[in-house]
Amino acid sequence: MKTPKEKPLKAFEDLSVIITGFPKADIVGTGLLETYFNTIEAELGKFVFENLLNAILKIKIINIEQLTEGEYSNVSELIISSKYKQSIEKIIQLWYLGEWIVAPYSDENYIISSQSYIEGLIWKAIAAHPMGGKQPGYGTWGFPPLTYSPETKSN
Amino acid sequence: MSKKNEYDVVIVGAGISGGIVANQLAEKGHNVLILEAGVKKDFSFDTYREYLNTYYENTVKIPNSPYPQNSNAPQPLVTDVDGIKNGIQQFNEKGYFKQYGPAPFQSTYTRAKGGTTLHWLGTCLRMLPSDFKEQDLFGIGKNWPINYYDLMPYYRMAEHEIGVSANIEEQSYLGIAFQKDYVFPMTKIPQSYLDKQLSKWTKNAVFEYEEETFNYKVVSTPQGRNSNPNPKYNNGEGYQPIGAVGNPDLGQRCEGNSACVPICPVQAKYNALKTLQKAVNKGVVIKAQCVASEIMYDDNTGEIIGIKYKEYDDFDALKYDENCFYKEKIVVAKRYVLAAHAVENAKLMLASGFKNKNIGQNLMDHPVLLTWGLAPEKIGAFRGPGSTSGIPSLRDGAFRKNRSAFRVEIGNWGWNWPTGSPSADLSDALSKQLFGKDLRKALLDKVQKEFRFGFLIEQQALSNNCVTINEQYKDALGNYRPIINYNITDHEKEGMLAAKSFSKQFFKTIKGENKTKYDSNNGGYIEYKGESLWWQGAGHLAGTHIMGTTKENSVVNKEQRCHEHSNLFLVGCGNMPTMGTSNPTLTMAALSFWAAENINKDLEQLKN
Repeated sequence: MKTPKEKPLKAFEDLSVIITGFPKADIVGTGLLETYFNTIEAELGKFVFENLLNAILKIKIINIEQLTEGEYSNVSELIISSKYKQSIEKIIQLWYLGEWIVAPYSDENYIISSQSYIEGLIWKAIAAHPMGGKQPGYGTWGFPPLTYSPETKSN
Repeated sequence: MSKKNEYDVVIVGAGISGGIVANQLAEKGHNVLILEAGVKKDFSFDTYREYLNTYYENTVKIPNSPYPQNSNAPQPLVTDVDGIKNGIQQFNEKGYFKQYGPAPFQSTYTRAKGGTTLHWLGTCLRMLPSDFKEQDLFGIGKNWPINYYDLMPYYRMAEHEIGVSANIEEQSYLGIAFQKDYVFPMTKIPQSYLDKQLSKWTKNAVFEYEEETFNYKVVSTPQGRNSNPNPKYNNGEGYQPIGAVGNPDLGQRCEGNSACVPICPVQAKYNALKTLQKAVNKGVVIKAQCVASEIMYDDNTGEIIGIKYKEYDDFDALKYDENCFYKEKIVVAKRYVLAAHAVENAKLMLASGFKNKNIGQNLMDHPVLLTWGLAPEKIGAFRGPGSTSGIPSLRDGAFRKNRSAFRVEIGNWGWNWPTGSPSADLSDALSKQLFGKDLRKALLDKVQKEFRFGFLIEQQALSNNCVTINEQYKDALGNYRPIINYNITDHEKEGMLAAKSFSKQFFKTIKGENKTKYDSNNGGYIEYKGESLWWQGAGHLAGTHIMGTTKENSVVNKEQRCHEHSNLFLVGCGNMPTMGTSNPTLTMAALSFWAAENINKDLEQLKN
């Protein structure tokens, strides 16, 4: 039995993979998918959020972790569209920083939780670790950086 | 009302200085009370974890962000500092300080048990021998009534107490001497990959400025954070690293959390809670939520006869309006110590009607000129302690007659300080409509190459840079708020010009990209001789009650005792007549050991 939320949650997961550039394993691995779903729904409103998810679902994508050129330009169009641009930016910021950003430097901005700060994808994106969390260990800062290009396929 | 002489010593302020004095005197069997203005907090690690969670969840991760904001013992915040409008520095009314400028004072401190060491970086540089006699050597600045060699044994004690990691061979430069056979408690903290690359890329290169040349030698920084104990320490006895208070197995080594400022999650970095807990175990009493409001003294003899303080029940700012609830109390002791911080000590003495005209004057900081850019290849920013190395070659020289010396601090956390990266880089990338893997790649390629310099510019002690008080400006408990007058001299601006030139030549030498760009609307922006400069505070507040030879030129004598009040000692960076280019905590700690020794002598004499 599918719960009523499962379908939109799956759509949100796909959207998240596409716009953040992180594979499903990283997205789900934060443990925050549902939390963020609820945050976004509350902040943007159910109607706006649903529209956004439907718009993404309409784009036919074979492998969300490896967009083809055609798929990429379709997503790109959606992302720069005046209708969705702001919402998508906020969702990327939420995934990257764990923070809901109403406007730059606004007092209304808030970090969802300690966990959301620590799981911010930005740290992974820059091949570092969250400041104050997931410590890499004594002396590791003296080693050459472990960087990898997101283009590289591990398989 | 307390009983007479209930305590041998009353100390105002539970930070590193107060902690050291308390612990040393308790060791000698004296009865010590510490009055702490900040909120009551126990020594459990759970309490510390609350600070950490507050940090995680704070959107603005400034140095004071993990610690309680408290209207009964307010503290300055870096976000209080206003910007520049139409070329004029603005001063708002929102912060704890009332500032009159003309330059903004941008440094802060923490009013909580543990004090500002809760969010210090941990840099433990000794001062240079020349820093103690600047007036004699350079005709500018002041002389200390003691010299480097007088302080040397106390530096050792401070390095033991804090637990400093460093190697002697690297630290013996520009006259810094160590006692024979001395080693630091722990071996040096590994230098970052960035440090090592910069060292490699600048090998044999020199910085040329005003017909002088200086090397770019990258030197590991002595740090108050745990590394490997040196087996040779203390004549082969070794050293046991001190872990987290309330969880001593944690923090025995630095784990690379990259959050020393504002909070080390495991307390591998020293904070004063470690010293305070030892003191409490020896019987020292800490009474928190007790804000000293007046030092009472005998008009004829100058002798202190008691300290008046306000004990408050509730620290929640929101519950307070004009009817704050507190009890006024008086405590009496044989000796008194002010260890409340340079600004708070001065404020308290002014509020008590002390007559010495030097009180509050000579406020100093290290204005920090920031520059930033990209390394020619990925160096792995945002890893390790905030800074693991510096370039000390410009800390000393005959040029100090003409311009300020500075120390170059190499920052390991990308452009976090100057621009707010990596969040700022994210905003940047989003404004270019990047998403998905393009976004990730753009961030990775840029941030991995980011680094910054902080040039800690030496500032002279001047009477016009000062802390004062005025009836008009008081806090929720009716205590004075500090009024700050502050400016930067041309001597210091000349130092900043040299620093900027250093940075330009450095980026050229390493074939990196200098990305330094100053916003003329930001507080601390100035133009000097056609160059734009931008400086920030270092949090190195000092000099508000300097030591010297007479009451005309100073507040305390070389024993750290007030000239006019023989049973009152002052400790903290306020006693320093110069700061050189060292972060002042280590020197302050050394002076606190020296002060404790002198107080103990007094108390022993009283017994006889």
